[in-house]
Amino acid sequence: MTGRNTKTFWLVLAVAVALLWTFLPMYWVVKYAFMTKTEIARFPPMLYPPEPILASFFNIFGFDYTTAEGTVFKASGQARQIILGLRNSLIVAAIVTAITTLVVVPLSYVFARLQFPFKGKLLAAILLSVSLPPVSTLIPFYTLYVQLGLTGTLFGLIVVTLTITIPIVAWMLIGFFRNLPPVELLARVDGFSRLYTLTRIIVPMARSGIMVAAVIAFLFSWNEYVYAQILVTGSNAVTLPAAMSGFLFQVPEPAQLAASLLLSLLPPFCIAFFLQKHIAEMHIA
Amino acid sequence: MADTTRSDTPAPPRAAEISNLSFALIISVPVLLFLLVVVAYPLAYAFYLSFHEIRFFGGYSATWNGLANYSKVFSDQSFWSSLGRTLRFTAETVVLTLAVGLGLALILKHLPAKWRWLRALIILPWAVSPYGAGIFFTYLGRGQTGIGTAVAGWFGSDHTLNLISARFVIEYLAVGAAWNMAPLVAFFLLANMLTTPARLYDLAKIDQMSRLETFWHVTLPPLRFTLFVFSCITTVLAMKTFDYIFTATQGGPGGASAVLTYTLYKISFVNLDLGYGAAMSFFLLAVILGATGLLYLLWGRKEERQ
Amino acid sequence: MARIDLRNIVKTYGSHHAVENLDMTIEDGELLVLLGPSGCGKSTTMNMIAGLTEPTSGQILFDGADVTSHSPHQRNIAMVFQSSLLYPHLSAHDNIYMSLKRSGLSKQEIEARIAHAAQTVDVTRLLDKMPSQLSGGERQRVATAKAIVREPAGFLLDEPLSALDASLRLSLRAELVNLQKRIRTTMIFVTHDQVEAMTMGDRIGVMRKGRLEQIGTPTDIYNRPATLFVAGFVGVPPMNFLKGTLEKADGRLWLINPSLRMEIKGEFANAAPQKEVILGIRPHLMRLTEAGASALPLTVYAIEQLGNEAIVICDGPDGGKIRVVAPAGFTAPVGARLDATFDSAAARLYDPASEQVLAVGKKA
Repeated sequence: MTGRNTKTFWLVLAVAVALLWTFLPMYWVVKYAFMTKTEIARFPPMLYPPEPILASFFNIFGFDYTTAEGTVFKASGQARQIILGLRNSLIVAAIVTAITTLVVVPLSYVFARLQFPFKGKLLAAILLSVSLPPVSTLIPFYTLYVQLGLTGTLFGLIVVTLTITIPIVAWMLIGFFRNLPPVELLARVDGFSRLYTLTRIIVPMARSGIMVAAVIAFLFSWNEYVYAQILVTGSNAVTLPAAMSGFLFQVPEPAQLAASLLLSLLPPFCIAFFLQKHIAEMHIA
Repeated sequence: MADTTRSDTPAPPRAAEISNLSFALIISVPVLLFLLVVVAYPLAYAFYLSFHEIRFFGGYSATWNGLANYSKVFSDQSFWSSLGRTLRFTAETVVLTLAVGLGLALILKHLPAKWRWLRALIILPWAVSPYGAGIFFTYLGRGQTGIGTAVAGWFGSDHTLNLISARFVIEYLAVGAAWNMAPLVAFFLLANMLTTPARLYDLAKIDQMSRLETFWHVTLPPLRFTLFVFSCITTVLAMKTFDYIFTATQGGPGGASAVLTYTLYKISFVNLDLGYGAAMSFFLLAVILGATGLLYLLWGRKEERQ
Repeated sequence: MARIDLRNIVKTYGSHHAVENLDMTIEDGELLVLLGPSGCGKSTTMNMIAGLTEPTSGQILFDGADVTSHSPHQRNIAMVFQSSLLYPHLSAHDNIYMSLKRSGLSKQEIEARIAHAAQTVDVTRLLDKMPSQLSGGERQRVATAKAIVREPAGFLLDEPLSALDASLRLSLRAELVNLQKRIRTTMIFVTHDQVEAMTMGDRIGVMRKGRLEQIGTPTDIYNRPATLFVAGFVGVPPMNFLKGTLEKADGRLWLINPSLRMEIKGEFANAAPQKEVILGIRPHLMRLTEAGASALPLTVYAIEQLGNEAIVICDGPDGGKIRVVAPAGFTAPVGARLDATFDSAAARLYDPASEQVLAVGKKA
């Protein structure tokens, strides 16, 4: 083997290992979505679905599925929760993303670009709230929500989720804004107000960073499980992760769990796939 | 002097330009108020709870019991063992995440141009939610369904090989957490690597450095600050992780993976001992802040000075 | 175009004095260069003239009118920032357009002005490009077009050439001076590069630690540096300095230090004897000679051949470096002993304590 070939060999091997590491854990569960209960229960475990079927995808949306041989897979009893969850997750994620972006862009701009008293202390407070474990604020939120009648409401869930997304997205965007050129000077010489500078000059300049910030807000909201599990499970405001956990804990249904998990992964995967180029542009402070 | 220099038309007021402080206040006060109410209120309420004994049997009642909850934490065996598991899980997760992140970044860096699209695949685990990662790793590791048994089967064994054992469950969970977080680390490290001047590698060649020396003296130094930042982020995330462990092992087997957040959950939501749970949650917060503070003192200060 | 007066300007940041008691007048149509090392207060001064920073106290007048509290736009100044900053997300045309967006001019008038400004600095063919597609020199020209399109009262440039390579700087320097003379605008140019200052300025204001050390024409600054700092900062190669004590003996004035006793001629009437002084002499005014009584003993350290002349860098008697200009092609081995003389009447004496000039040998 020549030196070049050796190098290619090791690179191909490394890439193969990286891909195996990346996809094996996902594949192991996602394959259940295309298998029957008996196939899943087989010992030793099967490496791939012998005859892939889409029954689980029908079942979780409340449809029976009949194979060519006439076997019937019954619609899932959780279908209503899954459909509600999908709808609610989309609503919550969309609203949280919109509010987070609207609020955080000016906030992190101010923290990144202006000098003013108490800035350091305010920043430290924001960072502190990033490190708050949800488990410790869960009880107070729960008791508060019971008193206010906000358990089982989308509004309540949106408010809680914002407390997660705002600090974390602000923290990421502050670093991004810090690295923009000092165009405020140009804008002042050109006679633009601060608001115009922010909305018409900084925002278009920072498009890629703001896009990534919005995506991160979306991901955090879409993936949020702890609060949802406590605050909205079983209600009409259930989200997809909370609805799905029914397949995990009450009556384990690996096939339907895998199908709904795959469903819940599609939006984040699309986002990550198309935005990966911009992700590392978020300079961290 | 002012008289001789006054212009014919008086100067318009400087109203067009408002000060940094007022602009900052206009923008940030509403948001900060929101955060204050929605974050500080629960925190204050948890603080209140931590000084009371909360009972639900025979009607809700809160009785002041001073520091009793806090002192109970110190003598609670399950607190110390959970804390030990949290620290073990965190340390292993941080080391694994950084190591795997660095490894992935090195692979991605060496990809030829026509393979660049692979980058978009390697990032995917980052988009998986912690509860999703928990589901993946519970099925992957369990003896009945897992990869261990499948691999054993290839070698003709009909035994189950359980990766989630009481002894090594923390290590197994740390691998899963690293799987979830490493791609983001890899992407930031990669962005850093690409800005390292190629000339430095030429210099290393002229100095006849070995591969390891080149990695140590050329590749690694520009990455150290990013590695520090991610060691902090990973520490915080690992210590406050709940959903991942909840879906992956439910604290099992036999409580072997009951980290502090999980024990807290059980105290508050299963035993409904809210006052005690609140007191313990402040210990967790102190551990998180202490750990990041320690990281900063031991490592971050050094990186900042450079 | 305007005459700009600074009256007793002070700028402090907490306990740090960025600019102290600055008085300065920039004449209408003049090109003034503010020169000094980084942190000397030159950029702060420019920002105060621009209206980007408000002075702690003092007044700024444009054509006699107090504009101290006016915004940059109200003052109608134009500014080119470091590295010729442009809005990165706008084309060259739109960058120039932003200067006039708040001007209240009609769309047609604006387009006509942009076209004219672009033509003046020869960027017409670049108007559709984005800043990232422009070279350093092109960016500088676009930034200049953006500035002149406003027909500003004052045109301020903050080290716009510092990021460019040497040959490009040379041609852009001439271009800017030529432009300033053609459109006869008042221009203030901030730089830390003394060659840039000498070649461009009608006058140069040398600043150091928040104070204006000297203001005058390039010839003034070069031939009659008022302070030790100006003497050492301006001129290539830099001025030579010799420490010593002045003594009167035999009715003549002598500069004495452990390795030298040299007669000082010329009009040094004000120089008091027995005083510690620093003598400054330009390398061009020294020549290498045979060893002699009043010659300066030197040891060769390095020789720089410039083609038309050679600069001999030597270790001087008091440990400092002494540079002597020698004819082109002059050679000597490193470590060789040399002697140099100079007409002491061409020297300047400085007070080491106050750093101010004490006496000059010749009234120029």
